[in-house]
Amino acid sequence: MNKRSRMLLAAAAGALAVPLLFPPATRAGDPEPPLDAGADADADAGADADAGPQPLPSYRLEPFSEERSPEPGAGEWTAAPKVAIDRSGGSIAATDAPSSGRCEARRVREWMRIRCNLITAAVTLLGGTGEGLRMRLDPTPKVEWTTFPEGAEVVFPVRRGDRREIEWLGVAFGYKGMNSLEHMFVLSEQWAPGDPRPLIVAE
Amino acid sequence: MRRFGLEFCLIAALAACKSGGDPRPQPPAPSSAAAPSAVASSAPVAAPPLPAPTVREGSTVARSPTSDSLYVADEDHGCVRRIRLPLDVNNPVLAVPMPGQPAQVLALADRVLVTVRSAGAVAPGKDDAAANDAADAGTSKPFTGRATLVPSATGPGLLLVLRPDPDKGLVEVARVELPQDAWGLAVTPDESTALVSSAWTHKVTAVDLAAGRVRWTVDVAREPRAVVVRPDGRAAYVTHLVGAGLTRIDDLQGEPRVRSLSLPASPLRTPVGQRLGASLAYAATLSPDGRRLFVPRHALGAVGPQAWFGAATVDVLLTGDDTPLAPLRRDGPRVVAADAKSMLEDVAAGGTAPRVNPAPFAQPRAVVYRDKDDTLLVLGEGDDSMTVLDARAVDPAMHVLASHRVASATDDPIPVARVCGAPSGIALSADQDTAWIHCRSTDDLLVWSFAWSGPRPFLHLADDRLSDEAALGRRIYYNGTDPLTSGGLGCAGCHPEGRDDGHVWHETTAVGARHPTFVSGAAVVAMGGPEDAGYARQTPMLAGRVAVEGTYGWHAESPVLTHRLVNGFALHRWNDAVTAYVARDLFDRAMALRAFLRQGLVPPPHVEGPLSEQQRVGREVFLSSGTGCSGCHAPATEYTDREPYRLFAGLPPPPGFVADPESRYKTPSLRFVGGTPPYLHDGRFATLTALVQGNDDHMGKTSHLSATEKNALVAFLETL
Repeated sequence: MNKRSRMLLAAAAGALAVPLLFPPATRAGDPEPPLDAGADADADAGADADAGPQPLPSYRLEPFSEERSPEPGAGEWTAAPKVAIDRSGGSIAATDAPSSGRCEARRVREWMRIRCNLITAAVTLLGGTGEGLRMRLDPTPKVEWTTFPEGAEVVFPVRRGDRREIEWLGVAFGYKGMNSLEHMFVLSEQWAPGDPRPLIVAE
Repeated sequence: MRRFGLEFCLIAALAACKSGGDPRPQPPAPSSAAAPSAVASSAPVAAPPLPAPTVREGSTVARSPTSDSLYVADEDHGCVRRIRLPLDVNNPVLAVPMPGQPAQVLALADRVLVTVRSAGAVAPGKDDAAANDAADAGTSKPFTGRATLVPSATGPGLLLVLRPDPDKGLVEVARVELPQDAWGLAVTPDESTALVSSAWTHKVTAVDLAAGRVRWTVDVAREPRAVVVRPDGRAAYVTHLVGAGLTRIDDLQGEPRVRSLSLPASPLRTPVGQRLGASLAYAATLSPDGRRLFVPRHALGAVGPQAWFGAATVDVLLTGDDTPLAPLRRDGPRVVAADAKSMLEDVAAGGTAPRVNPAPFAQPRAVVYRDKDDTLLVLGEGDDSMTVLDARAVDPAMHVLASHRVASATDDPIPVARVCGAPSGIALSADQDTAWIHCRSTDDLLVWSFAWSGPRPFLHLADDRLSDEAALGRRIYYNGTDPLTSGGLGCAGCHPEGRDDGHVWHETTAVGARHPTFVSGAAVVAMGGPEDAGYARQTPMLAGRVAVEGTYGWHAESPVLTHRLVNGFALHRWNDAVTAYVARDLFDRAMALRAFLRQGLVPPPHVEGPLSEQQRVGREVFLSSGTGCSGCHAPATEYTDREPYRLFAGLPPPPGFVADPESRYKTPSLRFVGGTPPYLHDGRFATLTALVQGNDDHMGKTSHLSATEKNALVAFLETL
């Protein structure tokens, strides 16, 4: 086969796409969840059950205050609605569908909480401010077949000047206990000087 | 559809600038089911009525603002190609010869700007090296040996101002001479001024486009490449192929002010308390609001899983105050499950460093900002990739949204691309739904639709002008995915364009069953403590320095170049020897690489002319028996006798390295030595002056020289 014939065949060969770790709810090129879908969109979801999954309201629907408030208590988090971050790459819920991610984001005042119901090995602040940051692993279940927590959460305030990256690590289970750490996603939060708003993404 | 595929290829054959094309009829294409339907869909249709994104930076491919044409700067064929849009098989590709090798092209409303590296330089290939091709045909003949196979260019760099022409493609309307090796290109928002970087001569020049004359030229740090002008037009940023710093130039319309900026490379992958080196910053782009500058590059010494060569990164500068967006890495805090603590201690798997893939792309070569979804599209020359990154992240390279392999049709048994290898330039359509990607090692133009995931049509622009063996070597040279030649980084990753990355690598010692390997930082050396930090190895330049037969390797341990290349296959990877391949696999690759190194790499430009008085004195010093320089650095053979000598024996190694018990080092070539700091095999001298001042009779005899004679010697060395 000569060079040019091989080239023609190549046109048909196509390109390969590397699968993402998480099935992407939003991929490059796909429409983003509407930024200002807001509480109305959330309410509509309940009003029209046949409309399918509804995008969660943006965490930025309410402006972030410059005032510093204390970290919310457990009751406040429970009462807070789920919100969508700027882009989640499928790792954090972007719609109200039960299958939309095993992680969720909630906001109370300037505080954000990211919670994942996934087998978790570690959560690490790679860099950035640790002020107000709280990371917690769920207790390891008292059952014989697992020795890792099945959930973890991170709570942090969103304030001007912020920049931080937090990595979530899971476990790749191997033969006869040959387990290893597995990257799950990195959470990025920033509110750079001069920016009108923060940015939170996780991929 | 089959007809389209075939005709596209015939167009390609006719489009070769010189002798690259082969217009012979070809057999029919494969079945229509597999044919590139996007080509059919791209047959003439009305252009979308969307405003074109403003592009003010050059690339190897550019779209005209009116979306009626693409222009490809084809450096390896010495021409700019005009391709009509929408793509139509009835519109031939026009090849417009350039007066040298074009580096970048930028299409404005009524003009097309092209940088030409050096006037008069001819792209290596069949037209001018036929005899050489014949001499080196086949894989078993020894190299016949010519002192310099590809000559250095001697002409000035150029900025060409061209006018689109329906018949001729482009017509030159102005030509401005610039410092040699003109490369990167950008224009001010009012399009009155073009800024051009000159890589080898480390200059940036402003050109008054209306007057067609140079407004100013300033000296900057080594290897300036991408130029990006701020939206306010008041300042420009310049990236460098070597080093982690940027250059900012203010007052572009008046008296320029130059200053260096610090932009830490991959700070979140940096060992705590350190700063990393960087390389390969060919490209940069601004966010649409101009508030962020994104610089894809390679971070040397970055940590992560098996990050022997460092990490691919996109570093972000906040242009409001010129500070880096990403913070430096901190070692926690973290929360760790009890049963995961031992896994965090596995250094080979990344230890406590970020575990996210440190190589989402290899050898970044081009970038665009896709503002319709706030993503960055980064082309990876080494892994033939287009990676989609989240531009909203603090560290975009840690936030991969999609990875696309743009290459296809790999060779068997050497798995390097036959189609779209080494992507080097990208342009977006006005609606940003299509990307056109120029692939340098195969000279293809790939059409990438974001709205469609089927086979990607491509346009083969021309066949390689090199011999088949050297052309294969070109594709291997850029490639970082062939598991035999490389562990993730191609030759071009450390020897960009055959030059050097300015980095001092660590060659780890062989321990037990472990083969010695190269790593880019001491923190990455996985197996031991400080005693295993490795020997210091400063990356040598290759272009123009490997034509002569003789010994190669740090200690002249390789009798010929191919032996050294095969050794390199084992050294340049993560801690495993090449054991699963037969000798023929190694030999074929080494022969192909050898052919490309000697026939395809273009040496840096050279200034012709008589020596100055100081340089003449320096030459006398160099040639004198009193110094003995030329006894080892033999002028007739690239200024090296290729013999090993004991040098600087007994002195401690540079900090962070261990002493090499073998202190005899092969004499390196001095060609182009003025542009390749740092110096000595271990990079201990930052400048040539420091080397001559600190030589202390370790190499030849220089202690007796006066300060004037030492300065003259340096001045002469800079002419080589």
